[in-house]
Amino acid sequence: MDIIGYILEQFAQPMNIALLVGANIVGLIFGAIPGLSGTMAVMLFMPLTFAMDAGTAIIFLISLWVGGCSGAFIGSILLGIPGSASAVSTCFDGYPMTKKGQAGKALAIGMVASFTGTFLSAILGALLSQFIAGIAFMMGPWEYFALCFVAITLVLAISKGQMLKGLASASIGLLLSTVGFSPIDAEPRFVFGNMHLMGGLSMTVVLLGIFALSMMIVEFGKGFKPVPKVDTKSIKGFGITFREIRGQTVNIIRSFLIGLWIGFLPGMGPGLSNLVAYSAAKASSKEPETFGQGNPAGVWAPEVANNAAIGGALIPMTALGIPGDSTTALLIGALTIHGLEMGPMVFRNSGHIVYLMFATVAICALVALLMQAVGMRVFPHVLRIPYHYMYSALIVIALISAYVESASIYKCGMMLLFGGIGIIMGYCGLPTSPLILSFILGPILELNMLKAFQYTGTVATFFTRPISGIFMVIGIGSIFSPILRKLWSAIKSRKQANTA
Amino acid sequence: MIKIKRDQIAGALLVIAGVVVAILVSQFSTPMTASYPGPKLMPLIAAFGLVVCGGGIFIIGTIKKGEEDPFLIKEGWLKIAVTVLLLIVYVLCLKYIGYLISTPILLFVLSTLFAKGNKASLKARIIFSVGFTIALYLIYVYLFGLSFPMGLLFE
Repeated sequence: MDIIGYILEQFAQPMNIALLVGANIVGLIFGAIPGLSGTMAVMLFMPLTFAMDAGTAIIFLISLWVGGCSGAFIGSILLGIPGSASAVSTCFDGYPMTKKGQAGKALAIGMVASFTGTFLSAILGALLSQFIAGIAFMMGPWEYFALCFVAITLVLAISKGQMLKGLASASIGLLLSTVGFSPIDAEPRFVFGNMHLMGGLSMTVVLLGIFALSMMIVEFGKGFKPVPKVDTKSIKGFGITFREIRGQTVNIIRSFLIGLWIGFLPGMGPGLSNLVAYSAAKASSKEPETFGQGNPAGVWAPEVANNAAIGGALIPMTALGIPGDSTTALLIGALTIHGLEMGPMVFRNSGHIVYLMFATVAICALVALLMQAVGMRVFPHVLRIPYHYMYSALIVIALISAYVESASIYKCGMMLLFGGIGIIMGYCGLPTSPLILSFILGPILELNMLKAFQYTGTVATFFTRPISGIFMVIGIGSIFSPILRKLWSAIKSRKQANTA
Repeated sequence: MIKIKRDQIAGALLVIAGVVVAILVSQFSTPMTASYPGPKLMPLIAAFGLVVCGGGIFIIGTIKKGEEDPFLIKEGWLKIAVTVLLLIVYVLCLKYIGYLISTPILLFVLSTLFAKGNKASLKARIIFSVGFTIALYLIYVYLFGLSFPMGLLFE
């Protein structure tokens, strides 16, 4: 199929354009409001795509995601509370700028930086993904297993001081992914004679229950925190000049590359890229002492990096079928429902779909920029949507999402059960990201592991094949990284003591 | 009196879950061999992870000194229990009386419960409950062609 023709055909449909703009606005709102996120928007509204064709579903879901990533800076800048993990370091200088009466300027930087990161990463991603897919043809089940393994363990490596809890959460995800008939042998596992469990646990039910439903109920239990008032008088004009943008060229390029690379790494995403880019900007600044006091470079860096991670995360998702972050993990699941299996073969079978994804990201970046520029003065009002209405509505959407998936009330009940598990996980302090990744990667991990054993009948091959061997070492190293780090610092301090 | 820490409870729960999973896995019929582990390996890895991590979390929780912040106060747990109970009733109502009757009631009760202490007039809550129910129905059913529960009593 002619790729450009297909993309133009998709964007010529008024329904698709309406969905793109609508989903972008919803994503922006989810991204902006602390506690919600673009990932949650994708989870909540994924069941809406069941009745759509693949092209429309992709446009809708990606618009939600990009909107969510683009809007995350709003809460960080105006309230000093990040809209999501991807905009944590935007608070460091964005909020001080607001306190200095430069909210308009900080918002303008956020908008342009988000656009730059998203748009450029989409173009680079489109160029690179087919090349990566070419390499992926050389990979067997050993390499796929090792890649999935690394994706899970790298998430654990960044859960600071929470390694055991992260690993426990990943184990729960793996366990949940094994419910139903096993791959290859078709042995029923943990089904207890229940026909609803034979096909495995539904992604919507598990993730919305554990991630969204439990979060909203616990937030209510803790008491909704009142949102601070925002001075709207300081939001006027576009706030930045072309000269100021040019002055940030090096910072933008560096942050873009950091974001793209971290997004590309399996399991890593904007949550990490914004922190690394901020640290890099501070470390290379001539006036690092001004960071944290309202330095515009401290807003540019995280916002370019977290949005660059979008294109970066799409590369392994499309080329390898391995998610770059939690949202791409969800997208892989959603696309499977539409009969689209991501991985190198997708370029051969449905290449037009892959390029539609990148085109949607680029167009969404532009739409988000325009909407943010026009709606700059509306942002403070978006942040003041009363929680009692918002959470009530979202709880109903979550439960109805479970129902529409297979027109079964049983799934609503299951979602409540997983909501309960989510509350217990929150009480125990277990993070949810490792669970999401391992639950979605679990079936791929197991299928490739069993295939590998069928071919060679030994575990050694995972380590003797060069690419899978490298990934396995990285994965195992990530698990033991806290112990290795402690050992390294102990050796270092002993050496220092000896020389002194 | 010895105060049990959250990490100790978390660790114990994880270990128990891991042991239960391991017992269930041992009942699978396909054998596990060195050359082909079959359907047992993945759940066993998960069970191993639960036991090891649970044990570790328990030990760290026991060694760690100092007071820990409470996850929720008693009133918070009560709020959670009431919400969960409401949602269970809602799911049962969805089954018997369907979406269009049960949803505005749930939305009204939830928004009233969640708004405690905040400004939210009765009129606004009623408009929100009815308006949102209808809007969601129209979008999902008519715009996207999905089906909503109509209730066993009305089918």
